[in-house]
Amino acid sequence: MLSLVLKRIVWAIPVLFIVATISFGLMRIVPGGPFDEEKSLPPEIVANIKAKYNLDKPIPEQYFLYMSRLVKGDLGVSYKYVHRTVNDILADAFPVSLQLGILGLVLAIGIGVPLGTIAAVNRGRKLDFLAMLVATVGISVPGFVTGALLIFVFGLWLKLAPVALWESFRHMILPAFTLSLSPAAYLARLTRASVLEVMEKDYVRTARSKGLSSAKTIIKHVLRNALVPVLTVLGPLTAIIITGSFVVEYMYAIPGMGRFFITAVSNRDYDLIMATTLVFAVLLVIANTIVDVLYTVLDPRIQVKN
Amino acid sequence: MEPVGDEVVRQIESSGPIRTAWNRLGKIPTALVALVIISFMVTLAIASLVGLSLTPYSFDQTSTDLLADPSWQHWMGTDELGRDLMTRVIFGSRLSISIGLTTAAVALIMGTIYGSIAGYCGGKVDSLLMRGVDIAYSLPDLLVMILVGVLVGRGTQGILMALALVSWMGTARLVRAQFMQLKNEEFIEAARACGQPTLPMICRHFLPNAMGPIIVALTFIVPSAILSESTLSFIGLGLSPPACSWGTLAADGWRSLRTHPHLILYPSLFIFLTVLSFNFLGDGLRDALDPRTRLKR
Repeated sequence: MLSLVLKRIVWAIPVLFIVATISFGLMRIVPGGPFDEEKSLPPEIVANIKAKYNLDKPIPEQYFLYMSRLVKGDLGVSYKYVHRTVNDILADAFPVSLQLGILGLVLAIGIGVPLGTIAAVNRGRKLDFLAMLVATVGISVPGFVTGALLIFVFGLWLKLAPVALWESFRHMILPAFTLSLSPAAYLARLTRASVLEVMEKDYVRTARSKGLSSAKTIIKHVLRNALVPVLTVLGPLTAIIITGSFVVEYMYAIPGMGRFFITAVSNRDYDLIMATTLVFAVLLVIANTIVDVLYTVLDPRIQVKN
Repeated sequence: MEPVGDEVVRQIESSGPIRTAWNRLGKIPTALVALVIISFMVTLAIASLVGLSLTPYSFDQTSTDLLADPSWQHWMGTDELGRDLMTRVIFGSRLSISIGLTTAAVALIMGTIYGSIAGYCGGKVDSLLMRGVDIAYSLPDLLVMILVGVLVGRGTQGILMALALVSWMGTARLVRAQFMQLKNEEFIEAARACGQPTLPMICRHFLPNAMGPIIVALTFIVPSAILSESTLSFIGLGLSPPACSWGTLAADGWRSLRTHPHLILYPSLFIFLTVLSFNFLGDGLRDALDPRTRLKR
């Protein structure tokens, strides 16, 4: 098991290296740079600025400089937030996004898994139809529509929760719900399929024929097995949460990674774009590693093969 | 009298798979409603495309009636320049719907070719071709699209390129998986034994048998493309005015959510209804085409 984790970590290094190289390449071949302002600066000043940020050097040298800084953990400087390094910005923004992401994920699991289970247990009945209707609606509503609706109803109309910024727990309620809706719907559909499959297994029939109550069978025998495939979608789920955070942080003016990423892209703030992309890649690699490890922990049959 | 046993089998054999699937789809009410809504939206888009005007206004016609609430003159109200919102929503449908359909078409062509090669050849070619797809597939679409947008610009073409880039991989994986499965079928072996060359074999035996799942997957690509485009436009990294899609209209409306919620309501409603319908149609098609449930109803 430890060797599996180590193997995965060793694998992650070239993947991240490639991501860094590709994003560096992308940023350098794009037309237009961070200092193409509408009011054009005198050329000598532009040259000075470019020299300061090494943008005047040949691309291979820039790449080498960037990579050697990166290895030391220095993500560079923001061209737009002049007084701040990228490390500085991320140190502030990352915990905010992490909080939001975890809250959203917990809510999504708390809503999605029960919804899917209820649907599966009542297969073909009205409750199943209703739960799946809710789930399909959930994956069909764009995040910004959910956000606008929640802000309008709970923020502006009922005035139950603040609609912007990130200061107290009350500020987190609406963003977390907005973020959780689409992964919850995704989880509900997945849980339903998984529970249905397990419910047809022989050991479930055995448990029922032994006289175990239907609720106990579901909890002890069905859910435990049905949740294995559900847990293993942590990878795609992380991707959904990251994507969702772009919209949610934009709408609720939350100073997190998603928000900085969007502003960095509109400002062509190269180092910041690359750094946020790298952090997202690291997150995805971590999530997928956890999935691989979970697989072996939860399903002993896979462990035997390894 | 309900047909039983052999009778059912004979009926299915005589009616052919497409007809059977179609009949089964007709028995799923949500799929039928979805089909009606999709037809409606596509009709709107086509009408707008050929220049048929369904409202007494043109899409960029301003008036002195600024930010009016919905009324008999303006069913969906007007925006901050006094433009009729319903006219603009109808006009926006042509961009939103065509982005969705174009993406699906590109995904079909690119994904099928790529997946066919990987699945048909197998072995080293397969692992080489699919390795990259697997890694790229695990990246969030929106993240990739934003980065592509930085590279190629954010116009309609940029969006289409970005969407094309992220959407064909799912189809490629699916086609490959289908081919892998079909390869071991006896009728494929028979065709090969008869000396059928590769390309006709793929076109006559592989593709028709893999078509069901591909169609289902394409039905799900359309709504996700529409969602991606509108989300990107909403956060300001997609299309921007004067381009007019449901996404840009919603982005416009967002700014006046507090004072004039109707401006975001209607474009959002159209996005939602279209995406929901495609999702329901996809679910329905999957049930209708799934051979495991074919005899149950």
